[in-house]
Amino acid sequence: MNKKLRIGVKSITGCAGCQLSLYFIEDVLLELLDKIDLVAAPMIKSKNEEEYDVLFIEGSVSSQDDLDNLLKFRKQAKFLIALGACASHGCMQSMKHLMNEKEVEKDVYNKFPSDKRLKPITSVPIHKHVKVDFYIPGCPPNNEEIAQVFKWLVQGKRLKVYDKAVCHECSLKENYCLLDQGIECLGPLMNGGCKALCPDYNHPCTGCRGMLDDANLKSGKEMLKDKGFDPDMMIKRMTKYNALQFKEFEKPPEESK
Amino acid sequence: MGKVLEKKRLNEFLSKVSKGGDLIAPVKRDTLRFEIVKDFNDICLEGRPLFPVKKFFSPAKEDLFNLNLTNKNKPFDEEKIKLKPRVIFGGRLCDFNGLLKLDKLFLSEEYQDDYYKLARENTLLLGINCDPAPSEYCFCESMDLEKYYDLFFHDMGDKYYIEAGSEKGKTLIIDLEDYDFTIPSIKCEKKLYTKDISKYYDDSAWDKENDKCLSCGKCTAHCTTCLCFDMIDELEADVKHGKRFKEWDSCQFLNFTEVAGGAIFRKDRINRFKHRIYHKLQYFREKFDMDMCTGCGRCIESCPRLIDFTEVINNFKD
Ligand code: SF4
Ligand code: SF4
Ligand code: SF4
Ligand code: SF4
Ligand code: SF4
Repeated sequence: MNKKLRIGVKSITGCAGCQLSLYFIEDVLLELLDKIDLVAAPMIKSKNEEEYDVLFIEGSVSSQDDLDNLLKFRKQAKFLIALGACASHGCMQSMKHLMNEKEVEKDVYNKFPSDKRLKPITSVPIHKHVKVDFYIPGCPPNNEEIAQVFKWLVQGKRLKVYDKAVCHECSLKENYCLLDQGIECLGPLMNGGCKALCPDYNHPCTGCRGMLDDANLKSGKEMLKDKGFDPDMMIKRMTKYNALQFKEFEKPPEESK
Repeated sequence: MGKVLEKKRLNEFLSKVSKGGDLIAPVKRDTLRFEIVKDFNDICLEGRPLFPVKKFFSPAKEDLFNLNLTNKNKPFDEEKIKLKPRVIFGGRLCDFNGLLKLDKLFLSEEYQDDYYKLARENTLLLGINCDPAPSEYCFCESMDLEKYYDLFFHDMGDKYYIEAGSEKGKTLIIDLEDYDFTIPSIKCEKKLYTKDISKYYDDSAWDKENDKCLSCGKCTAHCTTCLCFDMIDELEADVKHGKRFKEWDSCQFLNFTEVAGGAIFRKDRINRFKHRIYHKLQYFREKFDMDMCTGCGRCIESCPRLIDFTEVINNFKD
């Protein structure tokens, strides 16, 4: 029999909700106990080891501590998975990319000038600093999807992230499109895999799973304008989770050919 | 020559023909959808559902078989679908022509889909004529639709004129009163000027509409005739149990053409857009000698940018 997979879960700046979603699949984890060893899971056990076959990381890189830890984690992990919106796309912390960073910092951190730990750095998803082998996006990530990834891992199957627009799952459910009801849904620009959870409950999609790799932002903006939505408000919505992606779509970084 | 039915006797007629089975018709809740009718008063013939009837023949997600390796004798257990007989009432000519196209494919010897076949054999098609066309996006007049139905109703004010399109249909109305009438053909504002698009693959008219495309897949999900699907195997953690199911997919997505090794054949959005239209108007015709498009206009109406391929084709430079 093969050796058990050494699995770890580590956290940098985030709300810890992604980790929690992972522990919500306890039934699957129990079933897999003969195939995996949860060697690091600080939220649920006190004795934690290092060196991992697979390491899940939640949170974005938002402080020097985060960065040091992340670089260390990468060295310790054979396969690294970004768990959740912060690790995958930057999430709320990265809204700073569209603001004046110095001013934001002044407003928040100057209240505690003596605490060096609170010196932030520009907040980014983890792939900006290390190689990421797989992403489980979402705020929080869907526990069924996490369970699926665990199954694939122990089966040695290639992992596959859902890469179709939110509108697809929404249409498969025959939902009455929110755009046709005057509600500012961003589904056509965003990655699905959530089973159109928000539109299903008449709540517009704000893109917690990131923008599509080939999101047509220009047309998306025209669409929202045509439908009469306030452009500033729409940019705010679009960038709630995806400020960095938004910025890069607007102005692609030099290195990407 | 057909038959005539007074409107006040419609529910009685529908309940008779659907006895022992399900009646499916447009029902309005938040929006209009084809649904199994629970109360005859819910049936709504105003307007046309944006979601077509294909889901009753090949659902958005459908299990095909279960895997159980602990059962040595029968590791694969095929899903047995039991279907009550069904009657669809209130479908439009384009809806049922959509099935005609799908029949060509899924009832063919080469590609027969047993699930689809069973569903087709158990469903009666009772259509209603469009007078006027229910949507500004309809252009079926340009698409040479056939009389494909068991029965076809035409609204005459206080009664329906009914024409049979099959032997089964004839027996359903055998007791009704004869009536002499010719159903007027459907008129549409929107037109498609040509269906021969073979020479125009590189025409610049494609660009303008394509630039608007978001690759969201709504056009294909709502299309009366698109039934492309992905086949997915799911294994449980024990690696002994699992299932295979299929789920609708769309050629409008970037990874639709991804193959082993990661190559993608239609990376550029414009090639995906063109593929959709060439499939509808050329590739299908090459195989089955008819268009795959019914002119229902659902792909336009459902598109967040109202992308309209008739605009592309009607603006090809000669
Ligand atoms: S409600 Fe939103 S996600 Fe659903 S189809 Fe409309 S735009 Fe797409
Ligand atoms: S519905 Fe419109 S925007 Fe979406 S993929 Fe189809 S053509 Fe493109
Ligand atoms: S391509 Fe458009 S018009 Fe043609 S059948 Fe499909 S949805 Fe209807
Ligand atoms: S247009 Fe695309 S999704 Fe529709 S049937 Fe053709 S290949 Fe399939
Ligand atoms: S496309 Fe033709 S048959 Fe279909 S709803 Fe419109 S008018 Fe009726």
